Amino acid sequence: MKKAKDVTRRSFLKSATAGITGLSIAGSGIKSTIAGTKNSLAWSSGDQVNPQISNNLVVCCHDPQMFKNEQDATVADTFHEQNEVVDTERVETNMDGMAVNLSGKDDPDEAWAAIFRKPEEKQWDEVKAAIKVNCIYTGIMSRIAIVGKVCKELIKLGVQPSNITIYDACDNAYGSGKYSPYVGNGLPENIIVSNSVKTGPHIPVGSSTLKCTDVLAVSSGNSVVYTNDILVNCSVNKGHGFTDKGGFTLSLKNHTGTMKFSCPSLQEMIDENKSEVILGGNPVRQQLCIVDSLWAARKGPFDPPSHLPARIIMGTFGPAVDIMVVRKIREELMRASHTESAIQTILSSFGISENDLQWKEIEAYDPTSVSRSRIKKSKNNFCMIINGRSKASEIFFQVPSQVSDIEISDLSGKLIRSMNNISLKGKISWDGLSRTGKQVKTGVYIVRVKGNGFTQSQRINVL
Amino acid sequence: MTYLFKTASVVLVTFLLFTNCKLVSDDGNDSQGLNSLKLKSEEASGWVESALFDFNVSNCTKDAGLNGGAQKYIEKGLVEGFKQTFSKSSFNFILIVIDFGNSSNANAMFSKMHTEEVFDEIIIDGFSENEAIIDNSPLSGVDAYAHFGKYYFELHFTGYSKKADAKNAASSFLELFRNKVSNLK
Repeated sequence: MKKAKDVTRRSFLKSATAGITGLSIAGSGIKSTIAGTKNSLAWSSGDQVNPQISNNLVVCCHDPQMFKNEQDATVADTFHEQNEVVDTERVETNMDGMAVNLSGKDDPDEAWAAIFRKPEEKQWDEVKAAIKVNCIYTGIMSRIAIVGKVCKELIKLGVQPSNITIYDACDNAYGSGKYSPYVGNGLPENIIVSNSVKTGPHIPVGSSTLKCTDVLAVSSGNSVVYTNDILVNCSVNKGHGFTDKGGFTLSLKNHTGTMKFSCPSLQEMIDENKSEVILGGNPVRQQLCIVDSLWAARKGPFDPPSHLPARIIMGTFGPAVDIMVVRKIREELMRASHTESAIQTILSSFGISENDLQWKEIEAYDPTSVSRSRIKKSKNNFCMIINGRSKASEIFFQVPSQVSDIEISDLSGKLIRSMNNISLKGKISWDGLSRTGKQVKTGVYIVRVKGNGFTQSQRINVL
Repeated sequence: MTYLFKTASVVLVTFLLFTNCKLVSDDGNDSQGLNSLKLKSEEASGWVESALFDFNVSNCTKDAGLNGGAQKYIEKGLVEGFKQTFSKSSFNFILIVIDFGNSSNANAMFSKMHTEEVFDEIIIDGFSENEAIIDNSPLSGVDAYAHFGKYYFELHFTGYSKKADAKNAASSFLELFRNKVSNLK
């Protein structure tokens, strides 16, 4: 064994160099880890979820006729019974109205297209979407009419059903860890329903890391890959025993069960909601927060409904939605009490002034009041009326003036079908087939007509 | 030598006595007692069990247990418990029974829920309001909270169009559990 005095200058320099090199490599690894965890919140005060829609705007639809029968709704205490009582068509129409009022668009299709945005580099059929629900107790879960409507609108935009995951959707209280009450109950086919709680990688959040769900992120070697493009937060209106976090569980609290052990601090809950998987991305991943307040529970998290508010609330920014639901529904209507200090901390952490929040309450939505505005007039007073949402075999255009060309393309601009050098007027039908004779997929298409001195385009939904 | 033998014998006998003694807390800590409080399917006229989940401090946060609501019970000294669900026609009943280790802790849990969770209080005939209480606020039924000995009870009845029927069911079950706990002593 060498004694210290036996170490030569050369061997000392060699080992010192090796040591320094080793430290550098280890140090860079440590540094990148630190960089991944320090100051790693994706959200800063003032950031907008959607450049076209104010974070502060929260829309509420109040319509008791979203229940087929109010007496039946009063006693409906299971997920199955409640879904039976909900008038799905009414809910879907009202959600169109809410989208219109949230986006400022006249047309529901344009409204949903303004709310849901995809990364520029992707086509719609490559987009991955996830819907976060909450299945802790059968009597207070996001109802299928609402979740299904979100799925349908995403599909219309071009998202493939197999790229839509409803997660945290399995309630073990039904006796099986894999059973989900969402399966086989009226959702579009091929939607994925998943439990997926905390099965993904650790992601940096504030000065810590959180174990995430693999629906939102996966590990790739030493990196984290954020796999989800559009996140819809579909919570329910219920209370919670966590009074330090306000005493309610709405949009913000909805995430904690799938991001961390179920008892985070208030600050941890806030940081989770500012993380890359929620408010990161370009466009921002969490694009819509819905609170299903058809039924509501003053207590929680697994207590039965205590109220029948017959309301659905929607906004783009979770904290704004939560604060307004607390004030307008839970406190005013349900006389539930909350921890005011927690509410103030949420407001200040997200840079919200409560006075700036806008609460827009609408009643049942009348789509016919919008359909007139769908008739777009060109400078030449040309009107094209399309039966906006149709099965492929039933599509027609009503053109009052002579048109010479009709082109139908998808949202990416790809030409699907055309009729050129024609001279047509009146009702023109489209059989839903492409140029190659194949039935087009469900989704949104653009119809462009050209005539003498005019060109007009309009969207059509193929169901 | 004889002295040593005698001393060793005394020590040995004393050791054996201690190791064969059942260690109990002041009110007992016996899973058998908790298990005897479980309702058998159809034990109470027509109520059919659909789920049972046994929990302790380690697993009570699971979905089938107390889930995200477990913390308040843990903070008050939850030792172990169970959750059963039953149905009878269109009615549903969730039973939660928790061993808190001693009557003081069980009482503290009851007091907390009585203060914070009971919004429409109904005092039950035959019970002190410090022992058992009904909350009439759920839409389609009632919640009942009680403590007997070291055990804390929550009963959630839903699916009733007539609240009176739910209250009667809650009262009956509370009487049943009070008797069961009393027979454990």
